[in-house]
Amino acid sequence: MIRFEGLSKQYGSFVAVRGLDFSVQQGEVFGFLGPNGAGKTTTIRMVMGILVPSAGHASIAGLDCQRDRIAVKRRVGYLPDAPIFYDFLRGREILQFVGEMHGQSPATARANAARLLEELALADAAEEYAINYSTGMKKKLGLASALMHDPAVLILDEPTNGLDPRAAREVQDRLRRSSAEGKTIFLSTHLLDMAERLCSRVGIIHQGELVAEGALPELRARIVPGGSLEEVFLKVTQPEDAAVGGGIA
Amino acid sequence: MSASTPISAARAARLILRLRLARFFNQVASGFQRFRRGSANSKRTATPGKSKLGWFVGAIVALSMIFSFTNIARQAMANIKERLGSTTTTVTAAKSPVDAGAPQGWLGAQLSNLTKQDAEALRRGEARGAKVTGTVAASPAAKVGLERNDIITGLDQQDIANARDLIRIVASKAPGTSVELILWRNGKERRVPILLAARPTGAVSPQHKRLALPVAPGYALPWEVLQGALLEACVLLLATLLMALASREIAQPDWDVEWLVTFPVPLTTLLGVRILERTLVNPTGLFILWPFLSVVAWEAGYRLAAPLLGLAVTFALLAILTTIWTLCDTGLRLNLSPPQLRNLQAVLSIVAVGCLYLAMSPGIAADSYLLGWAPGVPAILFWLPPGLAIGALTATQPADAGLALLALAIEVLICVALGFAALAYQVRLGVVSVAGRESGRGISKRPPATRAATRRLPLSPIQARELKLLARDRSFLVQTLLLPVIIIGAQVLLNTPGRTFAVGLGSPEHVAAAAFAVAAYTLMFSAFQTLNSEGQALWILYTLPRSLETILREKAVLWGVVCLAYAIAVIALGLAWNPTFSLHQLELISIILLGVPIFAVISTALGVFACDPLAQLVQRRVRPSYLYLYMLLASLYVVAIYASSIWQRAGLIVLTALLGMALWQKARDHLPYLLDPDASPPARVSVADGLIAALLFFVLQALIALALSSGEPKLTGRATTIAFAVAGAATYACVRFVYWRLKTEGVPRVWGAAPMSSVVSTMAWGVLGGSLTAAAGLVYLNLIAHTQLFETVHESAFKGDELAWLALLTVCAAPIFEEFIFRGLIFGGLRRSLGLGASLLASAAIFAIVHPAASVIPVFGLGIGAALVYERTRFLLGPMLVHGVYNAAIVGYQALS
Repeated sequence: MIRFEGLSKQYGSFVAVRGLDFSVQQGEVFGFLGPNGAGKTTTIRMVMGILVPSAGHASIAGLDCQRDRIAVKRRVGYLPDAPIFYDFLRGREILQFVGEMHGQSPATARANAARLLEELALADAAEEYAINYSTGMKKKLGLASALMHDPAVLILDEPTNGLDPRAAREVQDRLRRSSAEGKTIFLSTHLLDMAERLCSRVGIIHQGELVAEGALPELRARIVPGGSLEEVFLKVTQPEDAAVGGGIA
Repeated sequence: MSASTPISAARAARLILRLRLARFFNQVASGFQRFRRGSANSKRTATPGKSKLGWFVGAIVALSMIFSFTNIARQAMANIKERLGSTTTTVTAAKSPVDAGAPQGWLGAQLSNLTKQDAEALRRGEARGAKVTGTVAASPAAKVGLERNDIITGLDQQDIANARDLIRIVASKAPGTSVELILWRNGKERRVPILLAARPTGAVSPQHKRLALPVAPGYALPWEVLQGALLEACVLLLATLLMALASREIAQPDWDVEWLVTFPVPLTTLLGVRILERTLVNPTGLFILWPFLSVVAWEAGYRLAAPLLGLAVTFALLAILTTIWTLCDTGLRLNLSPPQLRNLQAVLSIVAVGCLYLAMSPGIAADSYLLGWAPGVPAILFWLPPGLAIGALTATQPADAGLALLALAIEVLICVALGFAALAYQVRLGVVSVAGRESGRGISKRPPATRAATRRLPLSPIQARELKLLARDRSFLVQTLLLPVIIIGAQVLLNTPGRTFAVGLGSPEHVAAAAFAVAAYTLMFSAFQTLNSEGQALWILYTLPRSLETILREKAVLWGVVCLAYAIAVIALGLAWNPTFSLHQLELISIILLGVPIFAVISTALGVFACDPLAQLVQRRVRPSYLYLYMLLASLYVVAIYASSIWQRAGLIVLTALLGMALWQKARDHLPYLLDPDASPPARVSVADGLIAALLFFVLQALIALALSSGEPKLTGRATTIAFAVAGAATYACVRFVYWRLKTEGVPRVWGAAPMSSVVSTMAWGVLGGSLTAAAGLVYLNLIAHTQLFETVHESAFKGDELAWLALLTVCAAPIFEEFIFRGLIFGGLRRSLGLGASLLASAAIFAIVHPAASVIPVFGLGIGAALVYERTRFLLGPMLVHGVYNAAIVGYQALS
């Protein structure tokens, strides 16, 4: 469903993402793990067409993320790392806008918005201006906007960042339900226990390079036999293991 | 499975525009929510935010800006019409102004009367004198070296009123007489001895008349005027474009577009909506272009329709402007890194201001560069959109106007379409291509050596950090330090090429005003922004073990010193040019040296109110109404420089200083609540309340007295007393009502629920204080008994049955109302923040200043005495008695003597 082929991004002499080569099958929950500053957000922004790759390309359902940007966005729901919303609009208004922008009629958009707000326990705050939302509420509103048009693929950047335990559990339940409905979920996180519970496959990125990839049991067996995901993670992201130098050919 | 269907570009555009307008209206409406009672049944009600009357002040400010720009535009068109639309013709006078007969003296100078500008250059009220416009060859004037633009103000001991006067006086002297001319050249006075010759027969002074040029065929104005108007319109457009590009947002990531980009809508639609939105909601463009174009329409003969026509044409031109702006904006963001963008923004801000001043120059001076360039405007320019706009506004036939408008509309559409295509090409690869990484220029390999430079200066950590940021942020540096110089320099240079510079530096008032203006502008960019420049990092200051107030005070001191340096530099420049020293100059210098620190305090305090650190959109971070308030206060202070009497100057300084203290106090109350979107400081009595009450009191008094005396020049004692009493009662009632509504704490009481003994002791203190100050006052009166001041005091006193009213006024009414305001509010408010000494001095000073000049000193003493009694007794009864006793003693003494 999601295919990365040699995806790279370079800012001047600094290489943020180096030759990513992997794919995500339909219906999978793929966890994209990595330390801070490894290149997770850059990769996701390249997939969403916000950044232009220096080399290689990414594609979703066969559509190139750069060339067929609009068609891609119709099939993808995106949750950014730190969602910013218009300060003086209510949560409900923002969701309705998102729905209408995806081509739904005002009535449908309103119904979808109400349903999602109810599901994510945001109904109380729906009438409040987004400027007054806490970080967790903004994340939930962002997730609601990602789900408004019922996309086939969900791309989530740190979905439970800033959420209290109950909210985090609700989000995870929702994601599990979406996955059961057949959606493909690509989420980036550095919360390893959530990754262990939710994801069927993971990829670990370190200093821009993909250092490990595969199904969880297989990774554990291969890299740290009998160890947990945390030990796998710490092993592959050791500083001296990083590749040095080089740019993009 | 996906419920996302494609929508048309038009629908997307409509949705986005509706969203942004909804947001704008919500923002405005949130100001009203304070007044709405009852809210939704949800548990968490929407927090309305703190903008209480912000929209009201904003509306007033917007109106006053439009008013002032319209004034400038009107003046500009008038100057264009006068300078370009008419020529001077020489009309020989029919008769010479003096009779032929005895041989008459003759200078040989061609003369004209003075214009208002010449009069201003001479620092005179009226235009008295004669200007030399030429000399006859081999005449006494030529021999002595009289030059063009010399102004003759006197001959021997006589003052010259106008050209005719000079001719008459010269003609009345015999040829061969040696006279001394007093003339002004380049701002300096000279005395020139000259030997009069015999008036040649038949010599008559030619007179000059201005003749209007004929109108261009098919238009309502002459061709030259149209050229001038077109040039002005083009420069205004350029200025608008540059100001838009020079805004700080260009160097910051565009989160707005980054969110909209995640929708399945083509980028071109998003950018198209941006163009549309920028055209419709563009206050800068509207303020700059609309007044001028409306004035052009007005001059062309439209009356009520002029603003509407101007508006329509403004929108058309704005559409082209915003297309170009969005093209530049997007292209620059795509291709330059943030540091480069910031440098560019710094440079552009300077150029934009210069351009704006160039555009405003015809409205300010009659003789500017712009008017000199106007005749060179080629006819082809009239086929471009600005030319078509001017043509449409000034065409006489409706058919011509309609045709021009149609052509304008077509050109606008072509422009926008082309711009659109260019935009689509620009963003074909995406909107964000640069990461936003801030690359430090030199990531030094060696460890940083101790920064000995900043360590040597006695700076606190906050001040050192400010200077470091200033050195690193080029745009901040340029804006803060360079821009004020550019602004003032542009004013001086562009207004009258050459002449104003020399004249300006020659006059000490102009130098002082320029010095203060530079300092005030620099303060506006630095001290005003102290909180704002913290940006999102303001929360760090709240975690430090120092009060925010001391941090702000340090910053105010830093910027005060920097701006004082600027002021001193300008003063030094003026002194170097014109090295005369007088008491007057010393006075002016001290006004400036006092004013800059006061305004450092005022601008920092206003900056606290003006900053809105919670706003997410960058342009909302500074509330512009406080900026304009600051500029208003600064320009009021400049009045102190030009005020004629020393009491007015002193009064203004004291008032401004007290205002600074009041604002600082209010800002201090406000500081803990800055980061809270809803809470505001609890209401307490503050100095600002006292100042507002005093202002209200005096204004009401003047109004009521005016109404009662119904036009008679001298106010009767009865009218004054009634006005005083009514105004006082009304002010008191207003203030008590407001305090009751806001549940203010610390309201001054006349006497409270206190035991009888303390009331008695209060009265005793009151009488004691009153006797002491009265004694001092009587001593003063005796001292000045034989001076000028006494005569004026004696004259202004009322006589006869007026005395009864005076007694009522001074012994009963004045103490009651004045004590509430000056001791209760002002002294009480000051005492809350300052020590006893400073509060005494400040409240007594303001009390003294509002009294007539003759009684300032004893009233100062009264102020101190009453404040001391209030401090001791805590009830207003005490100071009221002091005041009453003092007044009774003084009035009694004057009545008896």
